[in-house]
Amino acid sequence: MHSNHTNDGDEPSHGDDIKSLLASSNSKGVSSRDKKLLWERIEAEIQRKKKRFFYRKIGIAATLISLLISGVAIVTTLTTTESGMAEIAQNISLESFESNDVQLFLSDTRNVEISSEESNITYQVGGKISIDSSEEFEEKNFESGFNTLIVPYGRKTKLTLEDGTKVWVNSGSKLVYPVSFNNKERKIFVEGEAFFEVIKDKERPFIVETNDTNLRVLGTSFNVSSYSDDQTISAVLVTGSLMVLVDKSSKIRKKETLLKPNDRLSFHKASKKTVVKKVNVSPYISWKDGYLIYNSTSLKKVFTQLERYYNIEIVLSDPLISQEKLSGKLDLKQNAEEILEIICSTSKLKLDKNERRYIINKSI
Amino acid sequence: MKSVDFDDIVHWKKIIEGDIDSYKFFYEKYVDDLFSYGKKFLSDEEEVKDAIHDLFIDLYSYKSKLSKDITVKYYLLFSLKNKIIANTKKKAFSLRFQHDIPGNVDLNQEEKFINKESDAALLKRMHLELDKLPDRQKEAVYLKYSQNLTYEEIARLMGVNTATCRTLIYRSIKQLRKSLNEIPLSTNFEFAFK
Repeated sequence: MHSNHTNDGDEPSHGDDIKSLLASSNSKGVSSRDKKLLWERIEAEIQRKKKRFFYRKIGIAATLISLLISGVAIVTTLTTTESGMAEIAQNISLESFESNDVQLFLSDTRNVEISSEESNITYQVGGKISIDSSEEFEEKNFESGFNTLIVPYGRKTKLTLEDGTKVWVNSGSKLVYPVSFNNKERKIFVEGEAFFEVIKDKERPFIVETNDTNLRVLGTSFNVSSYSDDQTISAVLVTGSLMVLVDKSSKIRKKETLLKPNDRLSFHKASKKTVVKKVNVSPYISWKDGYLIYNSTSLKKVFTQLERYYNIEIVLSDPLISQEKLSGKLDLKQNAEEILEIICSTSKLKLDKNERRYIINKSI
Repeated sequence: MKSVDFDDIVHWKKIIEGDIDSYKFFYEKYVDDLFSYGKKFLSDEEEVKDAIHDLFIDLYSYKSKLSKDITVKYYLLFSLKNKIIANTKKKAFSLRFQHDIPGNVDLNQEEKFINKESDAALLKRMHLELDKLPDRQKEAVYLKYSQNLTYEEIARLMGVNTATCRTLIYRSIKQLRKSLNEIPLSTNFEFAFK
């Protein structure tokens, strides 16, 4: 309100009049709709931060799981009812795509193509999927639907499942999983290679299915390698504990093995032989951080990994080359040619290139 | 004397604990002020909204570092200004403090006080004179009369000492009175100016 008192000439000691005018003059504000939208943006991000922090706390608790798991829990046999996910995976072949992009198949047959070389896919409770924190999709059938993730050669992806479990998926892999986990268990199918950081949930054991084995975890981090063109399937446990059921199709020879941290289990598909060894885990999981670490590894293995990662073809002029051993660290940020040059100069080999094909020769 | 806002004190404590409803409380209470202040520096509405968004997110992220003893409105305005400075530094252009000069004046607020056509002219005139003031004075006057901050708060916000701040505002009012008194006024303004 104006004050109606007079003012003495030029003594602006109070300036009430001007003050009231100033106070009352406000420029156009935000529309109430915009205000609401802005708040929703803010609230959503705060909720996201809350969730992430919450899960980080749980993850830390999970990695502290000791080896002392009660004997009772170990003896429980795993159910072998097929979830149907392996069948879904079989129907989609890695080679059947025109594009080299990561593909995410939703339960209603929609598929999403993700073109970034390394992507981030996050599932939230209720079926919302965000990709690279920019795109968002809604999985309407989030109660009972399955999604399939195809990561072709040359790509990598990081997937966060609805329960907060993180999965780093390596090149040439297929994953099938339910959009929302049910109350009894959390099951996911993997073909290829993936590193898991599983959120601890005593009520719902986490089970990784592959074509030949089932891995049952409580809250741990481990690497699974189960490529269909590999002769062995392997699982490496970093922290926590892992129960591996191998050769699940066999009625007689089904076997359950409990892994402790730094154990590596390898299952040879042809001979059905299982071996458990203590290893240094870094060579097996360094890929998720963008490095390949080798400790007297055969070039055969090295080249297979590089072929998958870069989606290239490597041809050896002499089969004996594949038996040479390599030790060291490769930075996957470099391109294929740079990496192969490094390997060749270290191993005294010669590199030639013919379009997408790299030919390795013994240097004379 | 500055009155203590109990609502703010209670909700601020909750903010430090991460209670989302309290964030919402402060948002709804101060978003208009924040937007108004932000618009003085940035003409792009979206940029102002972004700054407000970033401000609230930071408020959440750094909640454990917040002091309990804070005048919230001042703190929010202060943080917003800093956010805007930080953001625009990246674009490397200097920050100007500018009022929107109402062309066709939005009289919704003013209409409550003034309802004659020539009053609109005065308002416009005042805005024009205000705009002639140097940026610092404009900002100080705005913070005092549109945002009702104390001299201490304004001084801290503008990086000067309190005495300088008082002088700044005193001088601005004096200048405004002078310029406005120099123009022929309609008699309808007897009540406003003598």
